[in-house]
Amino acid sequence: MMTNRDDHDGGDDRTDRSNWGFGQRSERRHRRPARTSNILTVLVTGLTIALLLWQVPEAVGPTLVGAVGAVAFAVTLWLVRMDETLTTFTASLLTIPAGLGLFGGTTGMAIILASDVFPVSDPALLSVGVLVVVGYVGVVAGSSLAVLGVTLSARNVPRLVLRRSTTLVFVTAIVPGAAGLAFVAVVLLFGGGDGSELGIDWFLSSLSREVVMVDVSGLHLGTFLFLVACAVGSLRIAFALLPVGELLADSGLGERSGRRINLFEGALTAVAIGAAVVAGIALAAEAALSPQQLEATLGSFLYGLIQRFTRVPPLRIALIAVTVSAALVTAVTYMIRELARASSTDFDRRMTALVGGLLLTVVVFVTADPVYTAVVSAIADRLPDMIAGDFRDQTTTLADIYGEFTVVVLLTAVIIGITGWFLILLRLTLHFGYLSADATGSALASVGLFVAAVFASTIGTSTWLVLGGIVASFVVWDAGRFGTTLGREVGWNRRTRSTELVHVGGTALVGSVGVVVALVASRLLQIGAPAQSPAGALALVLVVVGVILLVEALR
Amino acid sequence: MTRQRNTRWKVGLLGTLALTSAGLVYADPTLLTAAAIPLAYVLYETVSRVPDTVAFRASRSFDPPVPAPGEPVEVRLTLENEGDDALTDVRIIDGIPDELAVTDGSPRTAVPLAPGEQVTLQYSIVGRRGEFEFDDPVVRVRSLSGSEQLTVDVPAAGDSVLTCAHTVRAPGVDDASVPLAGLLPTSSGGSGLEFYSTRQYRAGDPMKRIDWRHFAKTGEFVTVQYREERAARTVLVVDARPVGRVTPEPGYPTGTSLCAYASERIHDALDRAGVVTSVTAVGFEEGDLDDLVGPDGLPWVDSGVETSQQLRPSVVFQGVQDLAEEGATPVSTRPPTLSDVGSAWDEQQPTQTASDDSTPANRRVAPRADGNGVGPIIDPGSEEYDTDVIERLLARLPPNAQVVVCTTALDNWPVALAEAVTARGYPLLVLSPDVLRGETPGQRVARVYREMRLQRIERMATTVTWDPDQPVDYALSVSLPNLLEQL
Repeated sequence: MMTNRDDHDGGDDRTDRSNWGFGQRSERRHRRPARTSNILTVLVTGLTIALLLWQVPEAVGPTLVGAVGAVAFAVTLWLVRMDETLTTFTASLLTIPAGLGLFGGTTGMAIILASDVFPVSDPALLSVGVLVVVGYVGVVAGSSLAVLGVTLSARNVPRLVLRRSTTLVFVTAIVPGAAGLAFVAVVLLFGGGDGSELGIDWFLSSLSREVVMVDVSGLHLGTFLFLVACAVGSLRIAFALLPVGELLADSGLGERSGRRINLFEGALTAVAIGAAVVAGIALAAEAALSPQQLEATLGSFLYGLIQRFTRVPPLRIALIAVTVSAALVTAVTYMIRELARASSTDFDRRMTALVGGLLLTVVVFVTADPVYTAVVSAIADRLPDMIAGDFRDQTTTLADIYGEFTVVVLLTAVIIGITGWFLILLRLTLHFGYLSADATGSALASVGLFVAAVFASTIGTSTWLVLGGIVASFVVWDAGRFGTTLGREVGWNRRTRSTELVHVGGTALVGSVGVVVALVASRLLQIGAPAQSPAGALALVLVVVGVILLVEALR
Repeated sequence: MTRQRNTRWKVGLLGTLALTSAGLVYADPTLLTAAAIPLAYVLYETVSRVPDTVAFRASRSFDPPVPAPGEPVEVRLTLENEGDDALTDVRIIDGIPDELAVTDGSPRTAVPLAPGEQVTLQYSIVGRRGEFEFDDPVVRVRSLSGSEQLTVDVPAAGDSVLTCAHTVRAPGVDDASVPLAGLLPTSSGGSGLEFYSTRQYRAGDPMKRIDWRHFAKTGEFVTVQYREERAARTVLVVDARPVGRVTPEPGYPTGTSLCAYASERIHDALDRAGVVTSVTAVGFEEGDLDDLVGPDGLPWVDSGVETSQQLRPSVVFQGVQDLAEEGATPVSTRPPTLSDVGSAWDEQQPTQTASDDSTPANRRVAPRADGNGVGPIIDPGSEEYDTDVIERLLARLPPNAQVVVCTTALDNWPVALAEAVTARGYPLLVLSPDVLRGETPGQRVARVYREMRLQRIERMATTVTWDPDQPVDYALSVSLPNLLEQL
């Protein structure tokens, strides 16, 4: 039930003076930065990005792509926050431009620069070329991140929205991913489009040769232990999901079933981990050493014993059967449990996301051929000639075997997955406290500006712009955090402009002083050139460390 | 007074290390020297502090100082920096009692204050019955860097207790009173003083009322009738059932509270007009009001009868007010919605609105037990409560009474009551405070239902709607002439 404090702004004004907040429930709705601080955040970020792009014109296009992705990502979060069927559906569709922009901007920049920089005439210039590419990509990535931060800074991003968005993104990816994998499986099982050797016979013979009917020459301990680890591990997972504890609750023997179950689960876990570890070692040993060397190392008796045991096909088939059965049981149990636990609202959300994914798959099905051709051409045109030829051959072969639809639909799933992984990354940074939950947007914008300014320095951008960008990153961070605190304590739409301007003005002034100090120090460095010798560089580092320690001592 | 420091600029150290590292990796002197910028922020945090001596003076005033329930009150809080230092970030929150809601402006602000400078907070709240003590305003001062903060309670001079008057005797009500003390003329002939009519003599008529002159002229016996004067009697029914314990807006009095307030005003006016008024209320349970409520669940107090202190009408009104406040704590914080007020009007269809929420605010809405379609009836009490209470009311009504019902009309019970009362020939007036002013779809639908109920009652009786934004005198000025005319 919502109370009037949630529904009515006036009601909030009288609550919870003790912690200068609006109460836990209302805080989720009212954590918005104060208006002036938010405007300053947007203006400073926009101006800094504009100046950076003005100095680095090569990054304009990729940054725009990244910005579109960032805006799409932010809009996706807003739509998920609204929690309506139509908004959820639209959000599921927007995962494509979001992932494409977030991934495409930096990737496009890398491809464009790689085509310009490589091949290098002198191998010594290879590292320089890489650094140049990294520098430009850093500017694009930082600028895109700053745009994302600014778009998110208008409102706080609750963890619940991030969690729902993650679920939505991955559920959206299910249909295209499953469609792509199904087509791949069909090709593997029944042969590719060009009539190559791929097919069910090839698949089964390969599986039999590598896993079941292994040849007599090797030890095969690694693959055997790998099968053991898979079988025991899948059993462990199935055991944890199945209601074994509930079924054994009344054993009638006076022994607590929970302890026995825990012991059994612990044993399965230990066996699975042990088998996996030893399998890894064995596989490495088998790859490094020849059978003869292994036999010499282990001794003929032990080698023969192990070989006799690990090569038994029925044993391997049994392990595979256990693995497959346990995986099936796990999947069915998990689905039933999720269906039973999910609320109708959750079910609706997931169904809506599935429908969104289905629509994307249909669109891909209709447009796969031209899209595939256009993407391949766009990439190949940017690649160096020697790589472009191979790239075209490979992509043509790929399309012949699997079909354009399979490739494009899998690419779609991957792009959606990129959005999901970005969300997971965001949640992890929030979870571990690297980003403030109160001012996520401004913190992201600040990090983006900082990264962009630093990398802009590596590609020869003006000193004043680099220093200004660094100051801007701190101003944005401070304004966002200050505005969020002010919004929580006083209200985001109150008349607090003078306070905000004074505070942000102070921060900008301190940054200006820092810039002056940096310019003076830079001039001294150029005059004295202390960093050109190792001793000078070491002295400089020691000076910086000493200043930091001094400041810490003062604090 | 609490003083706190935080390390919000610790990020500067990270920036310094990052720039130093990047400068060394890229051998870039610009990046290396740029480390001075975040380092400057760390120094900034170190040197930026809140002054040691901070002094404020605060004063508060209410306008009007003694409001009526539902009346907006303008609060002005002035804070002056009495210290010698300029303060760049001063945040103020006035100590409004939880029961009062801010309807305009804000009791919070943040300003920079120079020495001797003052800031005035101005906001409006809605008066509620009772006394409400304001806490001292809390002031938080932050340093320019935001790394240190000082929180202090500043005692406020001036008004600190808001007293909301119980009743206000407005002049408009007095104009409606009549000079007859307890006896009011009726529109029927009988014994009295004023000539009314003549009729043919009937055996048993008093000799002194025979018109002998008429007999001398015509030879027929005619009996003179005088305007009958009877003791006027009004029964005031206050609807205190839980359905009315909702607020038009957060912080406003509940509908039940408004009903009690309006009833008390009507009672005062009628009392001064010499009308014998009985006061009762529905929504109580046996044993409430210090056993003033009998087994039938109805308190009953006659104002014209000498009674003990305990049996005064004010006790009933006070009881209703207490019931409106106490019983409605979880409910009054939420504007009424469709689930509160019922959704069905069709007489033939039992109402089905129900909620899976077991909180008091979403109480069970049940169809009437008798199935006659008067709509949703709400607990507490049994489902038969609302049916029976009408019968009990009818059983208690004196034969020559007119009935005044103060109800929010948020369910169909008033309609059923009106049908039952008017069917027995009692004049009826229904005064209904409007507590449906929200713009949510549920409240809009509920408003339509309420208007339909009132329209239906209007076919049988007089209805007066009271918008709580207006003083209750407007409603009384409409209703009182009706009351006195019908007597």
